[in-house]
Parts: sequence; C-alpha cells; structure tokens
Amino acid sequence: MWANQTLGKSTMSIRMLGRLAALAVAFAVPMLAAGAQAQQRTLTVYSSLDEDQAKALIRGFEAKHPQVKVNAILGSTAPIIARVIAEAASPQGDVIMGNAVSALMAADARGLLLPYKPAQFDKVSPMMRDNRAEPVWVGIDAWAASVCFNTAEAAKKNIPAPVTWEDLTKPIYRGQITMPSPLSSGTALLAVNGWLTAFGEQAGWAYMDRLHENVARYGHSGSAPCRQAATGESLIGISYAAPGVKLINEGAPISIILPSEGLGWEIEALAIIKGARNLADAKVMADWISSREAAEISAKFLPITAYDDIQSLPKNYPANEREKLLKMDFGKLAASREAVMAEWQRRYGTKVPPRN
Amino acid sequence: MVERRVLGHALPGLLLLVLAAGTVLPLAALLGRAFLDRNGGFTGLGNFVRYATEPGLAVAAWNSVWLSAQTTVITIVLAYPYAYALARSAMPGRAAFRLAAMLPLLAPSLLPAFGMIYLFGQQGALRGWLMGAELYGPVGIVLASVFHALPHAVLLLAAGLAAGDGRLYEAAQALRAGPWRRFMTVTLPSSRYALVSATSVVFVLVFTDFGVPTVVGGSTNVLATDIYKLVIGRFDFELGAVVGVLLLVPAVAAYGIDALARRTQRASLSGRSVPITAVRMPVRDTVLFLFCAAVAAAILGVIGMAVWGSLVRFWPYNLTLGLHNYARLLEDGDEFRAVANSVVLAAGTAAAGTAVAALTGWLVARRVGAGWAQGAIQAVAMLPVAVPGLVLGLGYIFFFNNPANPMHGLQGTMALLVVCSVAHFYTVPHLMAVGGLVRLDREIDLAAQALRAGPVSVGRRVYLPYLAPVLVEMFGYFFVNAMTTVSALIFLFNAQTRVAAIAVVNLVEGSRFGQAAAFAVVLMVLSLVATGVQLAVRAAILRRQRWRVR
Repeated sequence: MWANQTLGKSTMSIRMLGRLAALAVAFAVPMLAAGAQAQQRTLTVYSSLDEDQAKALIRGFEAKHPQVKVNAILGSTAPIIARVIAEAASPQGDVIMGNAVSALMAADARGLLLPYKPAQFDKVSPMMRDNRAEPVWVGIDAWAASVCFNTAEAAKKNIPAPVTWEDLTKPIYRGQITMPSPLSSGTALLAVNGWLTAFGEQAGWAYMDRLHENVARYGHSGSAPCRQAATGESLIGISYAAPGVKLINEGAPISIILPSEGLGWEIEALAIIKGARNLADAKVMADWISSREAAEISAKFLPITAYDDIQSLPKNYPANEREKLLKMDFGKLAASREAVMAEWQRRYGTKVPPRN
Repeated sequence: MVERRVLGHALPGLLLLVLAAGTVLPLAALLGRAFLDRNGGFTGLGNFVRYATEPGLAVAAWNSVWLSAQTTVITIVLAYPYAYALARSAMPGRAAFRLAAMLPLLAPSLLPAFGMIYLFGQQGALRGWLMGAELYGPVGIVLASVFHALPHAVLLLAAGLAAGDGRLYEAAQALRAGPWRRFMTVTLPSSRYALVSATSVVFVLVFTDFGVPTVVGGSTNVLATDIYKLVIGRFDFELGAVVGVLLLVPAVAAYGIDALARRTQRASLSGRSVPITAVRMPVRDTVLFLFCAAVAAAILGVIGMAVWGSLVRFWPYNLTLGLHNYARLLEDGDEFRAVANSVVLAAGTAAAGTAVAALTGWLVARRVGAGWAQGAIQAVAMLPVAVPGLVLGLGYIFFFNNPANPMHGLQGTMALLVVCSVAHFYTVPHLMAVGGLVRLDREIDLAAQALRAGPVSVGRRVYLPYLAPVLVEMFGYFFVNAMTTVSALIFLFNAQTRVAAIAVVNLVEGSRFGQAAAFAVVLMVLSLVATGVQLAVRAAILRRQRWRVR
C-alpha cells in the first residue's frame, strides 16, 4: 500500500510546492532589500493628523526642502504614542507631526521628547504653543468636542435637534446617544474635561450622571460615535467635527452641533523625538511646521490653526468653533488625567447603561 | 548515528530557539513588565494587586469566560457536522462548501463587522431576528465571534476527520452497527484529538480577541479590551502586561488538556489501515447538505451585505449602486504599494510558517527527539493563539528594538513583519500538522528502522506525501491570515512596509467607509484567488496520491 513508486510521484508535487515556496521567498528578498535600503536624507515622521492633511503638509514640506524625503507613518493618536514609548530603547521615528498634546505629555513625562523652540515659534498664537521655558511642542491645529446629529432619523422619529449639552440629558434622547469612553479615547477625555470646566467639578459629574442615563453605549474610538450617527446606528454621537465633515461630504444626513455652553478642546502638535537619528532635519521640519505657510495648508482642513489671523471655514465645517472654545487649564487637566479616568470608571465603567 | 543525534537534540533545540525568538522572548519582554514598576524596579505581584483593585475587573473576567464558553459551544456544534460533511460524506459541492467555510478568514475583520451591522444593526434588514435584543453587546460579541472562529474549528476538525481507518467501519458494518452507533463508537472517538484542539483553540481565540468586542461589543467589557484601555488609553504597559498574563491562563489550561488528549489518542491508523472512502448515504448526505447550505448561506449573507455596502454610495441613505469607491482607491499610488507589500508578507509568512510548523508538528506527533524538547515545542506552539496581536506587536518592539539584541537589525524590515505574522498565527497550522500525523501507526517508524531508512528519508518518503494536502492547507491558512492581520503589525510597519490591511484601518479612521469596504473586498478577492489555487493544488495532490483510495 505504501508502494514506493506512487510515493515517488507524490513527492514530485511536494518538490514543486517547495519550488513555489522558494520562488515566493526569492520574490520577497529584493523587496526586503529595497525596504531596508536607506536613502540619502530621510526623515521618519509619525502622524495622527487626518490623512489628507498629513499628506498635504508633507507635500508642502518636501516642496520647500527637496533634499529631504519624508517617510510617514500614519496612525491613531494613542497607538502612535504607545509605539514611541515602546521604542524608547532605540527610537525609530524622528518627529511626531501632529498628535494630541495630552498624549504627547505622556511621552514627555517619560522623558522621550526633545525640547526645541522652532524658528517661528514666537509668531505662533500663544494658545497654540508650549509656553514653558523649554518648549517641547508647537501646535498645528485644534479640535473640539462636538455633537454629530442624524437629521434623517430625527425627522423619522420627530425628535428635535439638541442645542446645548444640557439638552442631551432630556428624556427624549434616552438610549439614542453614543460616546467614546475616556479610558480609551482622547476625544472623550476632552469632552469630559470640557464639562468639568464649563460646569465646574461637582456640577460636571452631576451632568455626566444624567447624561449616562441617556447613553446607549460607550465605545473605544473618538470618531466612531460620529460614524455611528452618520449611518443611523445611533441618533447622536458625541465626537468631534472633522469626521462629521468628511461624512457629510460623503453624503451622510448629519449636522454637526457645537453646544452653546462651550467646547472642551485640544491641540494637535509637533514634537521632536529624543534620540532622533535625523535630528537636523527634524528641526527643519519643526521650523517649517511653525511657519505661516504650513498653517495655511492646515487651514484647508480645519478652521483653527497655529496662526490666529488665518480665517478659514472648510466646506461643511460648523461655524464659530473658535468662539465656543472653553478657557481650559491644560496644565491642571494633565495633572488630573488619571484621577478623572478613575472617577469615570468608578461611576460609569462598571454598570451597564439602560437601553430602550 | 549522526542523523539520530541531530534529530534527538540539535534539530528540536534549533526549532525551539527559533520559536522562542519569535514568541517567548518578545512576550517575556512585554509580559515581564507585569512584575516591574514604571521605572523598571521589581515589584513582585504589586501590579496584580493594583489590577485586582480596579473596579469592573470581576465583570470583565466573567464576561470573558461566559461569552467565550457560549461561543465555543455554538462554534463546535456548527463546525463538527460541517467538517464531517466535508471530510466524510459524499454530498455534492464539498469544494464549494470548504471555500465558504474559509470566507471569514479571507475577509479583513472589517467586512464581517460591516456585514453584521448592515444585517442586525439599528438599520439592519434582519434586525427583527434578534427578537428585540440589541446587536451591540453580548449578542453581537457571540454572533461575530462564532463567525470569526468557525473557519479555525472547521479546518482543525476536517484535518482530523479526513484520515481514518476504513477497516473499523467495515467491522462495524459487519457487526450490524447502525449509522448512529458507528458514529458514536468509531468516528467520534477517532476524532477526539481534533475535537479537543478545536475546542481549546476556539475558546482561547475568542477569550483573547479584542477586535470583535471593540466593534460590536457596545459597553460590554471583556478582559481583552481591558488591555487596549490600559495600554492604549492610559499607556500603562505594566497593568496591560498583567492582563496579558491573565489572558494566558486559558492557554495554559488548553495546553494541559491538549497534552492529555495526545497521550490518550491511540494511533488509529496502522500500516494495515484502509483509507476511508466516502460512502453514499442519501438520507445522511441530504441532511448534511442542507445543514452546510444553511451555514454557508449565513456566511455568504454577512459577507455579501458588506460587499453590497462597498458598492453603494452611502449606506443606508443613498443606495445608488456603482464602483466609485473602487475608483477612488485607484487615485492613490500608496494603496498599490500596500497591496504589493501584503502579497509579499503573506507569501513569506506562508512559506516560512508552513516549513517550520510542519517540522514542529512532525517532531511532536511522531515523538522525534528528546522528550523535553517535544513538550517544550508543543508548549511554545500553543502560546501564540492566546496572545492578542497588540501584546505580540508591543513585545516585538521591546525585544527586537533593543540595541543589545543581535537581531536588532530586523527592526523596520519586512522580514520582521514576516516573523511576527508566522508567530502570531502559528498555533493552528502546527496543530493541523500534529493532527494529521499523530494517528499514523508507530509501526511505520519501526518498519522504516528495520529497512534502515533514516528518519529524514522516512520524513521525505512517508510523512511529507502523507501530510501534503494538510501542508497546502497550512500554507493557505498562513497566507490568508497574514493578508488581513492588523493588530500586531500596527506597531511594526513603516512607510516602506505598510500593508493593505493597515491602509484599510487608516481609511476607517479617516471616516471613508465606502473606500475601506472596497479595499477590504479587494483583499478578500486576492485571498479568494489564493485559496482557489490552494484547493486546486490540494485536489491535484489527492488525485496523484492513488494510494489514498483503494
């Protein structure tokens, strides 16, 4: 039964398989070599900016500095910072071009960022830069907590649009709201910090207690609640404006509401990674990003950039975002980050919100 | 004999070293932090105590166990008859059904998630089927997890059921055992090992997965999402490592159960074995066909909804059909490079992974080499399935990005992504190889010894041809998984090695659903083509190997 002859034949096909595998490896090796090959001057940039914005900024930078080739690694805010922290033993990136300042502070607290004052630092709007003696970051743009509201579903159910944060606690919105958990999303944290700032510590938590009654679920991503509102998976998503703008452009029946009590907000900033291999060009990038030219590129995507006097309102972006920003004490908020998260988890993290 | 000495210690030792570098050491680099404070000082169990006092832990742990158990039962109940029908029945369309069962593996996890939401979400066409329950929560987790785990279970069970001894059935028939009795006394016992390994793999897979709960879990907390919250939300690698260690607990239990099952699984294939030929049993085959058709229809329904979603303008408000989402993908040259990178990664992972897993499977199943090495290899091979990709990816940074590591040069290369993917998906192919070989009679080795055929020549002339169809499946498994994996690579890719699955995630984050779905469909089609080739090669091998049929 285990006749040698037939076995011989089947090993043929095995050999063929082996050759196929060898072929695959042979195909892979040159690709690997190409990947590992270093070019003359490269700059490795980590970015959590919107992809279109990041690419536009890189194009602008490369046009101004053609001798530098940018290798961009785009990803979400927190995974990028987690990666920078994990890579501390031998930093792989040179510069973080756009990440939430609160997340950058987590890297800074571990001593992973290099203080640097970019050439045009003083021209940048004071609220958009690190005003410590040794600045670590310089702002690129800012974003604020906003409400994505599905107008099509609202019309079907005959539900009015909310105007204020307080409106969201009305019984009519029960089970209609999704928001991210501040334990996994920076967007949620800035919304929470906004409420604590606008209403004060005690009234802020009391507000969240009431809001909790209406929340259908807490998720993990800052932009997901807006996407869920856009596809009718919920009526209201507590999120921020940028994903809403994109979704409206794609055809989503939503409006972006900026509640009148004011908005918690945050800056996306650039910082140089300590131990950057291409430090000189990282500084060139930092100098360029603090320029008016770079801010004008960002202004095509968001209204609030590093230069106050650049007025812009990208298509479908809600008006008056800048006017509604709350006056926030970022130093104090950074210090209370862990405590706020713990309190949130204690109050809302363990019990299942009501659904109906 | 030199050959024996090589096989006794050197080869197992070498394999162990390779496996350790790919799994144990990177994991230790991250999970070791469970015992350190933030500054690297030893704190003993301090972090475990700190984690135990976190509110919500008990709920998350209970959810993890209970939901994984429910999923496992449902998955195995569906997968066993399905695999049985594929391996043992004469029902028509078995190749198509095999492909349908593989579909959940072929699609980036985004597609089934979209499909589930389109079917059962707030705007879902079949929302009423949930009888008032909401998708987002335990229901969604179990539904999506069964979908996600089914192919793994079917593959393992079908591999185990494919080989059997026809004489047992002849004997049973001669003794006038009815079909049910034959199933209970012959089929079930002989597939026990496959059943045990499929059950433990499914349980561990679901227990450690955080992709499903983050998308359709709503506010339901499980341990796996705790890692995400701790590491990504709070940058607390130490507590994250604690959860990582806890997630290993079911894997350790699974290893113990697996070892027991291997010991008690008597070799049911001997040199005198007669291959099983699928007998036509019209009633059984019809029932199985209907069952498989229902399962396949459910799988196709979910994927089909997602494909449809990639073709409409904006689900659910503008259902105009068109290819615009695909057209927009072509605007960006980066996406082409990402697809090319994915193919390279998948092919490299499949080639390297199949070779290594075949060797380790052979050593373990045939008890080659020193006993300590076999046990150690099996233990290490069972590890990856219990490790969330996030933990593996961060572990790789800590291990390979350490300048003191001689393999530091791999950091930032495609080769490291290949190593990581091989490690990530190692358990199932290894078990497939073990499952395929464990039941060959010891006599074959003895006969070979008597004929003075060295182990290498026995391997080449007996095991390799015998295992060939399974090898092709292992290759396919590595290939399609590497095509769609994200969670570990998200920490390792760079501008040159960005793969398509990461591009899909970027598109979702950029709120471009349509394009994300379209890109995911493109990846699925590539995987489908690869699987088609795989099935054709497998069929060709089976046709050539006439000794398999009488």
